[in-house]
Amino acid sequence: MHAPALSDADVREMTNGPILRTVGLRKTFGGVAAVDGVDFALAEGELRCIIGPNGAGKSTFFKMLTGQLRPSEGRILFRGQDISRQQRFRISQLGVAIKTQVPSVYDDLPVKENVRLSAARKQRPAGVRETVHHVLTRLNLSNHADRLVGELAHGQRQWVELAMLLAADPTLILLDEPTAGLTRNEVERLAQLLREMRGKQSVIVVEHDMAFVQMIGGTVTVFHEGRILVEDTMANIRRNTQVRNVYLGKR
Amino acid sequence: MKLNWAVIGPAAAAGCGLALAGILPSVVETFVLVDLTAYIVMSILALSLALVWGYGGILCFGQSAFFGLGGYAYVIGLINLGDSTIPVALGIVVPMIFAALLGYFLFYGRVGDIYLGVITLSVSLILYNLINSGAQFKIGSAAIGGNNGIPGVPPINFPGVPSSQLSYEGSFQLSLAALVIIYVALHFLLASNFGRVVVAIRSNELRTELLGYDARLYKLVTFVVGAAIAGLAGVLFANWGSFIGPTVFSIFFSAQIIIWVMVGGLGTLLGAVAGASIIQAVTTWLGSNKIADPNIILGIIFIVFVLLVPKGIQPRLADWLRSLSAWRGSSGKLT
Repeated sequence: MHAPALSDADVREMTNGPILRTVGLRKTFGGVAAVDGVDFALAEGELRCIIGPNGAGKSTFFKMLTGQLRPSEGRILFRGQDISRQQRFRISQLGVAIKTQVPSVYDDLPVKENVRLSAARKQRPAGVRETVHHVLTRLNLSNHADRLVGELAHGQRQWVELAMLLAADPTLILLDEPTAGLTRNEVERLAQLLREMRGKQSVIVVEHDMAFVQMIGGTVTVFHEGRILVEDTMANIRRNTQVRNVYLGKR
Repeated sequence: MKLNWAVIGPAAAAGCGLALAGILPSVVETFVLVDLTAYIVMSILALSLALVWGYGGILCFGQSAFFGLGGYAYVIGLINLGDSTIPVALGIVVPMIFAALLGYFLFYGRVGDIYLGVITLSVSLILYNLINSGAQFKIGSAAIGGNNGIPGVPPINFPGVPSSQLSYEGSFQLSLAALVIIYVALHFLLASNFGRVVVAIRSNELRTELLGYDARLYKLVTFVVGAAIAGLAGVLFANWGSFIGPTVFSIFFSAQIIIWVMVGGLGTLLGAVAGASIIQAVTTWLGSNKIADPNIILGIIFIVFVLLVPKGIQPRLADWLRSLSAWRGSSGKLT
């Protein structure tokens, strides 16, 4: 067997192309396509928001990116490497971290231990202690370090999950509805945090809170019925009649 | 002052074990020592399930399969070789290999919790039927004996010196030493990063994999370590009774281990030891005094604990102690 020769475009993509690219990504559940041919690209260091009505396929898209679901068709390229058939722990080891829609945390363990488990995956014990301390301080969780996560309010558990992501020092961060349960102040703090990450880490945020999406800026991708409807700035998307019809349920 | 329980616990256990091993044989009658040896062996078996189920969250209904395999591997090896050194190792390694193969299919096949329970129980019962109906089987010079088991197993000897065999006192001391070593080793295993990931998987397997840990591998290793400990318990059990029979694979035996661990408290080590010892002592006493059928009592204990003390003895005692000290603390402020 001969491997096809690489074109200039292929080489460019492998060196400084998008950090994440999906090609014709599809996922069907018993004949219903939840994600129906998505071609998506994210640049290194970009902060992208994905919006769209319920059932548009956003969470299914995220689950495929993290290996929680196997795509029915299509490919997912992370730094040029096909990860569409990889185990979820392997994808995580490559540097992809996800905050799931319902916080996925260790309810019966202390906040500190939640974050430590994340940091300890690839760090030596001395570095772990420092990372945990640093992340807890950065996200204002130091006062709750010894409390069980199950005792915390929904919004605080969101921060714990976020702390776990940061402790792993990932290259690509996926956030599925991170503002749920947060107070107005906390939403602003989160937007600030994401803006600080821009250029250093690549982030994709799925959100319903339009004010928040406006706050963090950048390109917005609109999902509808398993496909990408438009990709544009928030200001232009607000003026887009097609998008407005989708949200109001018109055809 | 804050005490460091991570060090005090194992140190106290080792100290108590040493003291008991040194003092008891010269204080109590031999038959008491023999009874105590049985409780110690069952405690080791309970510790194996305390690791696999209590900490690993793997509800293995067939922990007795590894116990029985260890016992049989040891006895068959001993009858063939005449020196117990290699057979003791066989009694640990054979269950490990078996667990590695079975566990590979269970965990890498991502079999669900309930099916895992059913499969492990079935495996144990298959072994029971295999041995039970195998009256004509012979491995080397060892006759399996089917339903009758293998009687007249010689005691463990000093490594390499078959003539220097363990007395009842020696068996007691060896079993107690094994219990203390396993307890302390498990304590440190669970405090290590490996142990904490195992506990994390029990708490939330999806999150643990999304953090980059291969849950299948961690579960498999836990399962195999549990099998090794159960196998050693099987060796000591065969040595204790000079006998191994197919009942070690029976459903009664498997259920018993689960009851010990549950009564003692899931997610505890000392609780498992206490659960096994207390229940064994109670059922033995009831049985020998013909007060009640031990099986009925065991069933009643199980139901009472599930309904009234679902957390088990050790966590419950800890709760009581905590509320007692809180009550004392608050009444101290009042006066």
